[in-house]
Amino acid sequence: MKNTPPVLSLLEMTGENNIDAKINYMIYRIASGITLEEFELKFIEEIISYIKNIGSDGADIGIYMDFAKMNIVAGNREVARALVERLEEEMSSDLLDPSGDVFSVYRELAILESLSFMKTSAIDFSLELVRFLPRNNDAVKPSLLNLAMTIVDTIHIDRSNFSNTALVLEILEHMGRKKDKDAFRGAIARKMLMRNEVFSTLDLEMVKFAETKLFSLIEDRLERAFTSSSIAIAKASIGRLEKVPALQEEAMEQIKLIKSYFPGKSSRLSLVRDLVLLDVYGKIGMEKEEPELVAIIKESIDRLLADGKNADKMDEIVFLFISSLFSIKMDGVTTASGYIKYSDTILERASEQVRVLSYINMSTSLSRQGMHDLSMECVRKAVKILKKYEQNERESALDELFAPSLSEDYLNSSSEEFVTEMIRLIENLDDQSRERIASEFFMNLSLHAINRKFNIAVSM
Amino acid sequence: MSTKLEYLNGRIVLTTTDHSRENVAEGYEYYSLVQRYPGAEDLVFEKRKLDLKHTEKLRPYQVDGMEEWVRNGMRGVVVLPTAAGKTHIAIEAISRVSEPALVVVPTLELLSQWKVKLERIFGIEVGQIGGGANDLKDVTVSTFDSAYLKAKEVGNRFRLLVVDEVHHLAASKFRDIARYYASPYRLGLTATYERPDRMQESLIEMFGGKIFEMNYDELKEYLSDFEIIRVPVELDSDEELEYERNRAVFLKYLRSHRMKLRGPWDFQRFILSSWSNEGRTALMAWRRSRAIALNPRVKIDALRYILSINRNDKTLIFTDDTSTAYTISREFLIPAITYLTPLDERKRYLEMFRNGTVNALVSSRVLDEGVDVPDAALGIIVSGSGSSRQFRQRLGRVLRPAPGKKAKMYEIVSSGTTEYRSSNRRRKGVPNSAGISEEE
Repeated sequence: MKNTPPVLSLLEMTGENNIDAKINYMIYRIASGITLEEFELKFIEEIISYIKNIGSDGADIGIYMDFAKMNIVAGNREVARALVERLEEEMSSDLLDPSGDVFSVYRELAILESLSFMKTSAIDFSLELVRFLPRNNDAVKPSLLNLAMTIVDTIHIDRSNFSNTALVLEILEHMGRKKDKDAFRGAIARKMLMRNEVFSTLDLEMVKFAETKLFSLIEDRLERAFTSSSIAIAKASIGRLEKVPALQEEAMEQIKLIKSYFPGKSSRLSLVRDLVLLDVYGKIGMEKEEPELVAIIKESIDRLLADGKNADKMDEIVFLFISSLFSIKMDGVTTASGYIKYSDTILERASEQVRVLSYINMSTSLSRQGMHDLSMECVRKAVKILKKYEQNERESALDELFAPSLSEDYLNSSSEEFVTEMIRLIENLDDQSRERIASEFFMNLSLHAINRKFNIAVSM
Repeated sequence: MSTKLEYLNGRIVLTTTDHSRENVAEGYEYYSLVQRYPGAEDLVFEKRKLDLKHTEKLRPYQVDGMEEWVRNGMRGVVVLPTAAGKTHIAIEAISRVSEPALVVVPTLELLSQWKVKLERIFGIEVGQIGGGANDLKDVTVSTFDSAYLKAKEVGNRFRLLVVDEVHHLAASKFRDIARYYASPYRLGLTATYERPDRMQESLIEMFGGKIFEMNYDELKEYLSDFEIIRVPVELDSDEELEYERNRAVFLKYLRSHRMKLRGPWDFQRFILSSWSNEGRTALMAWRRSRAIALNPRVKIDALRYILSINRNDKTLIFTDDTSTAYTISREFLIPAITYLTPLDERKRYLEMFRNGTVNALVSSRVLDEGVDVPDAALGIIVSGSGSSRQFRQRLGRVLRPAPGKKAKMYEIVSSGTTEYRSSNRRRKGVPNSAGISEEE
């Protein structure tokens, strides 16, 4: 087809039975507030007639869920509610997936319930099942952590769900070892405090919960440092928004706390501390402190990388460094392209996996800040390394890394270049892989669009 | 990009005009959102000015309270002793805002009292939700339960939310009234802001917190002159033995489980722990010892004596439990109002008390708060909990001003029992300058 926009070419690559990809594409279009084209209105008709036809047979749960999401973003919460009620009726233990994330279907349903302003009965149902699960079971722990993360998402979506925090604490009891508990507390606290933009005064309620019920019980110093930084950022942001100097002072207290961890300048952990601090400085606008700290960090990295003893920890150091760089307000320190050049010299010393991951993360950080050309430059750097990968490794990187990131870059920039790059990456794959990865792109595109629209950070 | 604010199911939804961003907050956050997004198209309320004037004259402290409320952005809780005229402050608030208003009250008695008063003062028809009615008007009165049930539906109808006895709102279920209603202007009224569970802290964000408070001492000239008289009575010997025996069982359980009862939370823990046989026995023993201390036979004699020396005073008698209320009712032929009394019967008794057909009423907790009994001069507490809030509410029942009125509150307390300590505890917050004396 001549002059077909790349995104529609990619949509075609999802195969013939691509109703789910079409729904996800429409979610992205509607959630982004784009005026719909004639052919897109036809897509909607096609979707509705498909749903009507499967209606009486019961159900393809996934398509139903996506259709409910489409209605939510379109503001048809009443329709969404009716769909969700029907899904709730289908709720049974048959939908648990013991091979992967046990509660994945219920987690998605809970998100839909809260987006439709309904009671989160999918969470209650999951919790009933949790009570039967063995405690301290390593196989179930990731599912439990994800469930707790979803609970936090439901609170971010609709603050009436704040009482669900009690369920988070109940799940925590299933983490037997102190180390697991600390990691769980830290991850949940940080998730609670992670907001794209501070919006509601009720965020304070969450800060208080994260601080008193989770952070205060963490013993692991690394977890404490990471969580302190989230608390500092949240308090400073709310303090600024609500004009409460006391909160800003409390943020400074947390910064003091971070500084007190891992005294000294030479260890790997003290570098982590400094990177965490750099992240806080960037996010709360402490530009004056940044240059000195960047200089210290560069010096530490050079020293650590020169020391052969740290070879096995190299990847970790490099990755943390690259991740933290992009929270700095770029123009205050140096240019973004300068950072990329500097990152190149650091990344040379890391493994291929870390290099790909870092460039992909850098591309997303840059596209979030509106620097789309530089973002594309990072994608190309990642693609270059990817070409050296084995076929299998390559496909899983495309599936798990490139599809989620390029879809977000596309959403942030509206630049078809990212889609064209995605097409190039998958066009020579076999039919099945190509369709799978293209569908993955649209699934992620719709998820990012929903997250952006509702100011949330749901991951599925 | 411009934005709009809408109300949906108890939430405020902030949407960009192209629908690409949507944030959700709770109803009560409307007040801060309007300030934060001054340019937003506001579709939450249909704005309508009413003409609500009145000719009631406010007392100086009521004017002060009102000014404080206005200064605080027309939000906040006013704390005044019962009988200090909180209703008048609400009437002034309704008039100042002159936009649709919802008044939320805890009991059916208060529902009809508020409705009658507002209709009389503003000369309008006032709506009613609850007590079998579902009639929405610009100014509407509702019970807590109905306001809670209707919250998501009518939460954007009333720009002013007045809540009488607002301390109840801090409890979990009724908190949702404060959360789901979007009313930017809020007035809470209470005589007893502090709760033993400290839940009043949640009212700060949702209601604007306590903005004005005056106590009995400061309002003396406006309230009836009053006297609190404690009447100690001795248990008779077999009651005393029975009391000691039960008390010992209870204390032994506490000691063996290293439990201390320092407040309501500890007590809740004790109740929760009573699932075992031993715990259940301790709980029963505690109930029995309490029943003996609260209602010994000799209290009836003391009550008879107090009634005989105050024969002409309008008297309210308070008990802790229903069965004692009925015992007193049978013994002295006094109408009893308990939670078992049907609404129309309650109304009839209160009317008889108001117009002087009967001179005394006995009640178990039902009259503790909010019922307007203008000329009771004598209160007698036959039994009650250690709650200072309950004591102040009961005191308030007899304090409403009347020319030449000298109010008296008798407390009949069993000596040598825990009730004596409860009596001291419940007097906290009541001024020392009141003539507290003990009668032998």
